[in-house]
Amino acid sequence: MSLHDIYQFAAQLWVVWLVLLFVGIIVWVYLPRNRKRMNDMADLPLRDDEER
Amino acid sequence: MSEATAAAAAPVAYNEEVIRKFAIATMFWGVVAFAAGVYIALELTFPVLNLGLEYTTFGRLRPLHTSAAIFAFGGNALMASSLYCVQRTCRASLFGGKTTADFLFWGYQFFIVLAAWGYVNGITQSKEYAEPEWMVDLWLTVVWVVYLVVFAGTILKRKEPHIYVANWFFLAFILTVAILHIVNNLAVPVSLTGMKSYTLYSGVQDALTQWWYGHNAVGFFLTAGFLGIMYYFVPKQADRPIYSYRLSIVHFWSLIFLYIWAGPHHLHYTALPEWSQSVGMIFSVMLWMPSWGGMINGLMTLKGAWWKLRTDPVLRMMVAAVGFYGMSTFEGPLMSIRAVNSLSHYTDWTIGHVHSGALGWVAFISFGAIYYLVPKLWKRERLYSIKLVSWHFWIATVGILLYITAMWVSGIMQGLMWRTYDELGFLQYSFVETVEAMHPFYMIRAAGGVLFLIGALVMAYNMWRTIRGDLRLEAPAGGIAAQPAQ
Repeated sequence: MSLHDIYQFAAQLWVVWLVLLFVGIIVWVYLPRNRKRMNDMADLPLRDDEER
Repeated sequence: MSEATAAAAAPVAYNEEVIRKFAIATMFWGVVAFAAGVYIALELTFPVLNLGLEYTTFGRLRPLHTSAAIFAFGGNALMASSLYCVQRTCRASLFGGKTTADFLFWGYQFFIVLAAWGYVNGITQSKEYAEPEWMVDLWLTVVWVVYLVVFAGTILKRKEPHIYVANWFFLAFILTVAILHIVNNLAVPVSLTGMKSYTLYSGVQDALTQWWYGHNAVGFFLTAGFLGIMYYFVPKQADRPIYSYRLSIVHFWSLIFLYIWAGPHHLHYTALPEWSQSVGMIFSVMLWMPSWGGMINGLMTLKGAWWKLRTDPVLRMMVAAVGFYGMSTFEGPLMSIRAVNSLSHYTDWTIGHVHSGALGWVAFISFGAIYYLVPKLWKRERLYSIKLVSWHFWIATVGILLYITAMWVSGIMQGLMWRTYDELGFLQYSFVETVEAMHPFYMIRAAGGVLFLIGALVMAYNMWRTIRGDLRLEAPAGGIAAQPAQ
């Protein structure tokens, strides 16, 4: 089985890869250790009011 | 964090001049689009208003109305708000400097005028929401790529380490619209000096490409772009961070992963293979989740600050917009189900659905953003009149409700009349009988449109007085008891 065959087989399963990618994003977003960092990002637009 | 604080402390010379231009253009094209809408609604009610001229027939003025609303009003609102938001949240001035920004502004207005001139003169490639012919398409491509470069360039030179979620939505909107526009408009001109061209696709491929484009124009232009507005301007106006930043990231990615597949639901019961109709339907129904997740995220931002709705009509407008977003994204998946679509398709129900999204969501969130921006951009203490904003809100809301309820009744009635058979198996109603039955609802719809237009004129007046630097002396809305007791 050449590398090309493996690629062709993997390409057929694109839906699976996309779903895994999406699940990966959700897991990463909801990891408890990311909670504080993400909550801090929400304040970003409110911090720009010290204007010139 | 210390890096970000240091960055915020150093003054950045934001390019606000071009935002001011986009804000004025938004208001101007908004009034044009709503007036054109009222006129064609009256044409449907009283066909004599076609005036017997080819330039003013419904067929030519309808794309004028839709393009003015989506691309002129909506497009300018998106450019104003995205270029404002990206500078603030990146703490960087626009990439490319003043000249590039001005080219973007005038280039886009030139595209709008070219497209409108073509519609009135019967120059069209007959693709819904993509009517302009090849020359105009090429010009828009140039302008749009400049928009992408300015926006992405500003993100690249940001001083803030993180890219705020609103910018993700704006970037997805700009990038996807570029791809949609180029692919759907691939065409071969008949001659290099003539306007006429033929599309590269034929038959069912043409239909599928068109509705892949058409539905993602809804998904990425009218949804993702305006969600960018929601994620920046609702927190700013409410002075609270977004309810859940983590939910906003899930909202973003689920929208991106799902929307692109929903197009085939425009082609139920056509020559398109049934399996692909089903794929479109299933992805449309799944869109319920991100849509409602996003709506909850927007609404819950007001948790603990609901009292602000009593005193702040601008915030009320934004929250009503998010409510309409939830409502029309509930209705959309419902209508994409094949059995429901057999009743709703080709009827006024679709028109009502589109307008609950366009007037309720897109226009209201844009009004909210412009109301927020005008005092900031012209360095005024506040808007000329907060009471007038409240008037605008109520007049426009009644207008929308008249519009969509009239179209629900008219559309479902129309669909039911079309499918009614008599005891011998013949159609019960002729087509003209259905048209006659819709007449009173067309009058109600036109009345709703007139109210919406009046609301926009009130806003234009308020905006003009604010820019002039006038302040109307007013008692605070909601009275002194409006502050919470706690």
